[in-house]
Amino acid sequence: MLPADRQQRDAVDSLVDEFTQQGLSRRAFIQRAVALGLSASAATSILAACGNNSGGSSSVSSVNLLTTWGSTELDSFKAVVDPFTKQSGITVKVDATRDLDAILTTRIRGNNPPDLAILPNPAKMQQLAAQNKLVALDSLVDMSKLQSDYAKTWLDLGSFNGKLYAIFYKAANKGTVWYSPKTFQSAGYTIPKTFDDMVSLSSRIASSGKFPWSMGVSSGAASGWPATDWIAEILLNQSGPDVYDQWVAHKIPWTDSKIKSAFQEFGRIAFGKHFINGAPQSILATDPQPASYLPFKSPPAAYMYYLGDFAAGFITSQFKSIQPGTGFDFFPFPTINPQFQGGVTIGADLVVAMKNNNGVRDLVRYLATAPAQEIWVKRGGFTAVNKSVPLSAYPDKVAQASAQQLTSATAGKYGAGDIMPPAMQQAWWKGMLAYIGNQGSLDSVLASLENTAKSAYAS
Amino acid sequence: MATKSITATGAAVRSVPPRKPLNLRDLIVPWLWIGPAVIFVLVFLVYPVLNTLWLSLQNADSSQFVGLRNFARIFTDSAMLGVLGNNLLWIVLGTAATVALGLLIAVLVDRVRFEGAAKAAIFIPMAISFVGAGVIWKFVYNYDAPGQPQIGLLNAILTRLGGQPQAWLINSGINNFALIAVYVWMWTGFCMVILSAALKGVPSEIMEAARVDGASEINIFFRIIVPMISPTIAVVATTMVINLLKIFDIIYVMTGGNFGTDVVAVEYYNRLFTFNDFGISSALAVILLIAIVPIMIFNIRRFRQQEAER
Repeated sequence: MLPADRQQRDAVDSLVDEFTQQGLSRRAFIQRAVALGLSASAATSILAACGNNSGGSSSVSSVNLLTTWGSTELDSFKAVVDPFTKQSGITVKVDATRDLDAILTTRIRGNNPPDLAILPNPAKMQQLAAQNKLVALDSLVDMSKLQSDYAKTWLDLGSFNGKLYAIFYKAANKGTVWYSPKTFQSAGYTIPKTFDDMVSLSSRIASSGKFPWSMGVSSGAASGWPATDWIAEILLNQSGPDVYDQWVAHKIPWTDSKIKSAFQEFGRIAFGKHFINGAPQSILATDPQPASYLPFKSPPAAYMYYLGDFAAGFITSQFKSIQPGTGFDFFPFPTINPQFQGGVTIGADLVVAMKNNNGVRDLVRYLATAPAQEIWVKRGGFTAVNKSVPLSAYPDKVAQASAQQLTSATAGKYGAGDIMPPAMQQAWWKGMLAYIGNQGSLDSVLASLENTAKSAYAS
Repeated sequence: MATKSITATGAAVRSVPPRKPLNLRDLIVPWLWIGPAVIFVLVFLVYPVLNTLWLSLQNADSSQFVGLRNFARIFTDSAMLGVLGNNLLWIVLGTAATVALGLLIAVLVDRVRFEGAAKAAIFIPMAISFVGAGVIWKFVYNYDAPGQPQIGLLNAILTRLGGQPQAWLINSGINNFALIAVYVWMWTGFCMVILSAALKGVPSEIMEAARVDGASEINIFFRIIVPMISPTIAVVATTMVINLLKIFDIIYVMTGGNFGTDVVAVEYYNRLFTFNDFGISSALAVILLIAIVPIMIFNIRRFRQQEAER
């Protein structure tokens, strides 16, 4: 009995697939279901469960989307999707997971990929596109509209072998140092323009017995990433975009003096005498979110904090009544080499498709439009790369300034770790933990990263 | 279990297997009975094992045969050797602590009035998932910089007593022990319950006799109780060893394998899902499998021995 049952179930499953994805007509569905031994009423109720599909053409009533977003971000995304569902009748089933890599690998290997996924970095997109697991978007969306809405850099970063596979959706400006204007004013501190100024201000604060910096790099299996953001931002401002590109593509070794000096520059903050309370252990033990609170406590437990613009979301959710512009604000990452002033590293979540059906098509088109993105922009915590989203849509001055800095950056470069091969990125995270734990280990950390790079870039 | 069969003449003959001509029915029926089990084992055990063995001899994306190179890489990489060393530490300390504590508690609560309540309290962590326990203990071990309010229980007690807060999960001298303590907290209850049941099977007459002969309680414990329940101790210990070989969740949740706490299962997970390296990850799985085999053989031997004694 059991094998026969299972066979029948499989047959019904594949029939349902055919119905939902290839547009089998209702009558054909019921006829074939009855032929498989189902009662007519059972067949009809399956049909009802699949959603009403009167069109008959390749049409689905729901799409499945995989993402790493949670809590506030997920709520905002649902707010973006709501009008789409109302308009098109297509529901978007969102699976949120912190373990996107594992779930995606498993589901793709099992031939059961989600319709769409929001990837947190383009390296994964490149990997999947190379394995032929993604649907090219060129034919799905209006390319001329995209070309007018998005800067060429974004379309290039979303392409593989000349075809567009990803739409850059939610961007993050990682050239922001957070501070409290109120505290700075009352203490008589001025915003540092150069890195050296920033270090001397830090020493001044430290010599008055206070801790100038807050830092936290703990993040579960991804521990270390906030520190890699530091290095990327420093290297871009210290050695410029060309060296940055060479480094990311592993054209220059990790042991190169330029890379080493970026690590050392970071070390001036991380290992500064009396710069961070409880360092280095507190850096390793603290998550980036709670670390972002310290400068805004009263009395302040720190004065400066470096993290991408999404830190604003952490700060405002912890201190409900804090005023943007006076209670908290950011200053642009200070200049290291005047020649490369204003370099900004960027992070972004991107939309990719793994199946081709009307739901995927409509949703991708919708998400790429300015009005859809404005919904989230207004809710806060979202920086759009779509040029048609007006600066006035941002909820406050701080968010506006961040978006402005992003669009006007002299050198906007994608966050280095996110475009390196995943194995390299992971090794780099761990390398940062080792360096923070022991300043003297820098040479051996860099040598071991170079070792990893040799195999990570080869495959 | 001696077989009795009736020959054609009707005389009873002992210990002679039936020698009927085999007909089709006799050939097929046993297979029908055992068939589903065999198919299950083939599909869900034998095939994956063989496939993993095959993958472990190939490169990262299984496009090229590389022989034993994956294994050579594991056993020459100092980081990997550290991972294997950690697993060893887990097995030795984890097994010893859970079994010893479980036995000690079982013996002690055997003599008190509120035995049920005490056992329940110690057994309860068993009902919590590994991930849940990991999260709970992450709070216990939480570290905040000196001078900040300590929300971690352990550091709160430590600073209240005038000490400096410790980064329990980061300091490489103590973090492995801190993690193993979580496992011990969860599994001591399991060992205790099973050993306690075995304890009740030790005839009280023997202990009475020993007491009459003037044996101390410690002597009774080591000379009578432990030898009499040694089969149960062995079963519990092997269960722990197998559990600990596969340990994953606690480490993944609490440290992510950082700061020198990585173990084989976490490394396997990273290699497979982050790096998409099917070669190395399969090789790690094979190493785990090979490590478990002797324990399995020990278990089976033990089991056969017990069966024979019946």
